[in-house]
Amino acid sequence: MKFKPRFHLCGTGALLLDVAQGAFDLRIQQRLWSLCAPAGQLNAVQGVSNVLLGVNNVMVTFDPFAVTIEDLQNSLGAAWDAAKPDLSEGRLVEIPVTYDKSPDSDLLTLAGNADLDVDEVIRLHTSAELRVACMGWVPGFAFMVGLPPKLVTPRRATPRLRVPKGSVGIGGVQTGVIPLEVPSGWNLIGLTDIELFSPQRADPCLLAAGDRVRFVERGSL
Amino acid sequence: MIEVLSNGALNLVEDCGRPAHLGVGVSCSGAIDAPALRMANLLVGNAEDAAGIEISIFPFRVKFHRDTWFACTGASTLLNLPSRAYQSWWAIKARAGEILTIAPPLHGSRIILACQGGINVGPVLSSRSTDLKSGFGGLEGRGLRKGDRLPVGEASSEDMRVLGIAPESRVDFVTQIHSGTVKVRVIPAAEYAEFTPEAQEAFSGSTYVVTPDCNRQGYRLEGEKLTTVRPLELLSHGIVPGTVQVPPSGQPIVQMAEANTIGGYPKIATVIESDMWRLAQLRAGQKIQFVLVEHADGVQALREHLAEIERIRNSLSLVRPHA
Repeated sequence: MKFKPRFHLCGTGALLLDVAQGAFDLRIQQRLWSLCAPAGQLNAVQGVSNVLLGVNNVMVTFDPFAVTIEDLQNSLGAAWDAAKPDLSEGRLVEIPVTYDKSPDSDLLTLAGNADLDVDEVIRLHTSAELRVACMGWVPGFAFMVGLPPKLVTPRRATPRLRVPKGSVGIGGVQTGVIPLEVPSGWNLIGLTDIELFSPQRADPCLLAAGDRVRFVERGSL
Repeated sequence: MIEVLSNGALNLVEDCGRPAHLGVGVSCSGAIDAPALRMANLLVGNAEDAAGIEISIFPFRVKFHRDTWFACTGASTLLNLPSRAYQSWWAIKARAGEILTIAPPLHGSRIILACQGGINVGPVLSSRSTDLKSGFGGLEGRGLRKGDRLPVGEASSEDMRVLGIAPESRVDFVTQIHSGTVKVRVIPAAEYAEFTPEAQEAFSGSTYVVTPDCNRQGYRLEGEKLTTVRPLELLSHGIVPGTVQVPPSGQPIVQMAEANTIGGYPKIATVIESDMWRLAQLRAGQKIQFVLVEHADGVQALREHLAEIERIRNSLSLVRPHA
């Protein structure tokens, strides 16, 4: 995988390194995981303050008085070229879910649209091999990849203004847990009471990039 | 200790935020008019990143329970103490038991109140800033209410006197407000070239109005519709405060201090760091014009912005050598 990253300025003090080659590619993300690890090369680049991993891209914030754009691009490009994929298996985190089988639930609508019965949707969702590509959007939220194709469902035409904390949902090719009350266009299929983010904990987020996630059914609503 | 006497869901304890936690989805947060906080702290002899109160709901009333030096910066307004009145950008001493009333601003929309010693609530993730969206930091992660009591740190120096400052940038801002349009400098962002020539022309050639949907997370603007040449499907990526996103509606949204850390909409430009406070001080209905600049211009503007704060720091140290 030898290709040049695309660089995009994000104002005076941030730079986006984009290495996406079309659709999401796990092998690219594995290289980014090792690049962005706390002891990885990006944190050692001169002038870089913070590293924000995205989906097949990474943004760094930097001090524009400490490093020029040209030097920064060269350092980041060299770090990308040298990055080896992180092929470790990843920590397994199980997330208990109470699936919402009530008659007006998104789960039933989703099952109907996918031409599956509800139990089959739950079986697919709980047997999926999900990986955390990156963290972000809101505190503790994990961008997960690996949703079975049959469960891929477009976001709702009209987003809900508030969805409950702990909502488990599907939005396009994404599935995951919404860690706090926010607006969302995701199709909600269940609830978990697991805390994904707690600012008082030494490690505030339950999940981290590279983790494996398995949803486990715990009763139904 | 100071006691809050007015309810204001958008009156918040803020410092310089928590940029080190962006990687786990935590917004930078912090005072939306960050240089106003720094200058208010300079006026009362605090460390520049000490926590103050960001006030967006007026009138705001607060009672001082001990003699306290304080300063208000940001928007221009009247500060009423019993039997005397001052204006923004002054360092003033309130006596124990006195009540300060901060009137609705004449220009601008937000006031920073700094007290000597700083607002001393417990830090969360190494910052005292309120993160409203996530409900932590500041005072119980929420806006201030009547009856709230906020601890104030120990005063660092007795070498204080009543004095005021008049930052040139703020004088310039008021002139722009009077002219009807505030200029905001932006650097083209990743998808700038994906917008139609008409959209690129409209973006910097016309004005955009701040809609009532403007808060610490983002400002929704209204003006000429911006469209891309073809529909774009972007993978999720990091965004910073100042990012100008264009959702399918074609109406731009500027991300502010409490922006989400990751987004997916096309980005036409990013407001330069040194102009963010100008947006922070706008009100719904006011107009802005985006001015495209190069990265080097943005860095130069930041250098001048920091130099202004440096001049104020130096002149204050002349009149208050031991503060």
